[in-house]
Amino acid sequence: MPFLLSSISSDVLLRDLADRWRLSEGLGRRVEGVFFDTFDWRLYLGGLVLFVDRDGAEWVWLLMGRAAGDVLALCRGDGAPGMAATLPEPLRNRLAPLLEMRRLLPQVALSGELRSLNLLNEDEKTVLRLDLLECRVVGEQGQETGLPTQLKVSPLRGYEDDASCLEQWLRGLAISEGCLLDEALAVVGKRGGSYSSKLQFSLHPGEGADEATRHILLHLLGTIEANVAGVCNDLDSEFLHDLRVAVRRTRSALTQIKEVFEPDGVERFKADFAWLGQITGPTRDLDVYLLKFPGYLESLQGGFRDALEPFHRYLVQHRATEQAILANHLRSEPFQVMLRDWRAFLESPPADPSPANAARPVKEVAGARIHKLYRRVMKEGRAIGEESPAEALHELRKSCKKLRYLMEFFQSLYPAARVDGLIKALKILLDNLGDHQDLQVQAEKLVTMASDMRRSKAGTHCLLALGMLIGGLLLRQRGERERFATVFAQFNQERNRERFAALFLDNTLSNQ
Amino acid sequence: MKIIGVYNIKGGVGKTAAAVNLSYLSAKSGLRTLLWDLDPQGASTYYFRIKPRIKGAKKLVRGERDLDELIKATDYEGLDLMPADFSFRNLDLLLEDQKKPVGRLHKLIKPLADEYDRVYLDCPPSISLVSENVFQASTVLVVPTIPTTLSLRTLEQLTQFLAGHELGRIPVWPLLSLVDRRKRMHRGVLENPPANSFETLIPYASDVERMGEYRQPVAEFSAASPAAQAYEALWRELERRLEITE
Repeated sequence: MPFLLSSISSDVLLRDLADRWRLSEGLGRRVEGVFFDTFDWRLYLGGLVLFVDRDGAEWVWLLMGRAAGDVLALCRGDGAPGMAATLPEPLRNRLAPLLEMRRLLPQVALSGELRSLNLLNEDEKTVLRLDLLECRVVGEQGQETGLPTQLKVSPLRGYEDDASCLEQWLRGLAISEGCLLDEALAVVGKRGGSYSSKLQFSLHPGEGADEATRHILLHLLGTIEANVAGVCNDLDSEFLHDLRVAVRRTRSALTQIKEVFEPDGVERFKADFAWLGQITGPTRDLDVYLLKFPGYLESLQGGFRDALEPFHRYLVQHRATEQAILANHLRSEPFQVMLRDWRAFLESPPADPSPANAARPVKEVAGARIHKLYRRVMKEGRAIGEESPAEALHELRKSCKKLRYLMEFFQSLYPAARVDGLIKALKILLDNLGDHQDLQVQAEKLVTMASDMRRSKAGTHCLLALGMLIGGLLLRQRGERERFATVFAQFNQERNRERFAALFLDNTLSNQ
Repeated sequence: MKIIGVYNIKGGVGKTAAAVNLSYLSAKSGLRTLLWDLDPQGASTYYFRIKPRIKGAKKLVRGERDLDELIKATDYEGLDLMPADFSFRNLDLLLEDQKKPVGRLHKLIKPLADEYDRVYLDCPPSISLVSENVFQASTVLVVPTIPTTLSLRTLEQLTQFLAGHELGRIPVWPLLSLVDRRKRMHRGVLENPPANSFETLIPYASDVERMGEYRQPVAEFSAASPAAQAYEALWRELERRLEITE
């Protein structure tokens, strides 16, 4: 990891260095650039740092390892940072699988000077390079805040001993190692990896169900709030996805964790979140079509791929309209009031007298509810035969989702290895049910869109291509339907049944 | 990875100067480049201010040590050097003890395929088991040749040797080197150059000799000199030719 000079100035350090080693200074340069990452810190969490600098009209992209500060790729391009598809090679190839649908966003801007020094041996051969970066964080209004100077030691191949020797000397001077990005982020009040849509609670089995539920709901509210700006500014499709998942989880918590709140107190919010789920639906549906579009093209034979272009235009236009409507809703006063009131409710003291479950230990309430939902899932699943209608699978999916959300909310109350295994098993079943239903819904909506397009005089080839897509989707749906019996049998295996009983039937606090 | 053997049976023809300057220009262009100084005299190693090793050949030839561990970075980004080893003077004897002595060098270089785009071999003069290894490993042979009758004879010897050892498939690209147009004999050869010669000529130039004084490639201390420009043109011509070579 690079060294950060906080207790010693670079001039003093260089003077001390020159007393011991021969130094030669190369050409320095001004550095003015921005650290980029996705909203959910995919690069940071992947151990990477992307710094984008301007050199004249070109962008200079520098991808580094976060721990060692080593350069992994350096390239130039004229496109501004954004989605993976706009990145120059070899960055695109390297980062596309990590970024997926997420946009690279500016996280913090730096301005400073980079000095390059070479350390020479007695033959005047360079044995290692030193980069001294003296820089400042540039705030949104242009205000500058100093950072500790970064000293990076780059060993040259075959001369690693010289680098170790210098590093040891630096440590002897009590110069510590650190990450400049972390320092810079702290200046602007950010922390790498701080956002995640995943649920990570550490609940205490004995705490009141009321308190634990508020904790869960406040976290979900935080996720909703964090994603609103990204949805309104249409940065990438994942903001809306995460927002909708948080809304679904909130709704599930409100209906499934029973008798922890006064029914009158939360009735209004149940309706509010149902509304939020509803207004965010159309844009998300169109996002899904656009995300799946490359797959649609691939599933068609060459000659029909171009024919789908009018459909792509249709999706893009409709999405733009829906997105504008959605952004208006999310910027509206009623929505702001809803979020404010919901936070005020969650942060207010519990009602007195409290509802039946409010003061009970959360583990008792959670276990009982999870087991009840599990029994419902088993009953619904066992009742499904070869002739059962699609609606039966749809109902089972809804029950499974409720069960999954509850298990995820209360995961921390149970031994990780055991509860994780059950969630995983449930997820496999949910994937099957989800695909079965999504494929059907996609196919049905494509039929509606195809009629729209026929009215707007789409060509025969485009309609035929849509027909092929619909046929392909329904075929895959049938495949998922046929797989259901095996997938459910797998979930229904004795080991899982025993684990569900062992974990959730015994709700005494000692079961941890 | 393309391997360029810079070779001539004769010494003093500008092999090392060609290998050093070409590998330097290759790295400058962004190609990851390795120069292997196979000559126990270690002139390339000296030019890059790297210390030659004393005894490493035995373990290397026997496969007890990887090439990877012995490579050193030069002062130029993207250019690494496999330093000369004084024990390379016995390389022939060591190779002879091996089961397949002719393919040994190739076997040593092969694992570096992902790491380097170009490998330049600066070879010792004479025809020996070492040079046979070089022929076996190389994608092409660049043969610096002084435009004199005697030099052309050694070129002929090389071609015959290759044909006689089923190595006739390797492209042999003569490079007219140390060219002095004031000399009648040089002018005569230039009028009728050997087959597949580079169009670029390397002139006799004191700047090339001064490489030993500066311990740098020519372009580093005298970028505008005719010698530096000649190597630049040669490197471009070489890369154009490599593009169409399997």
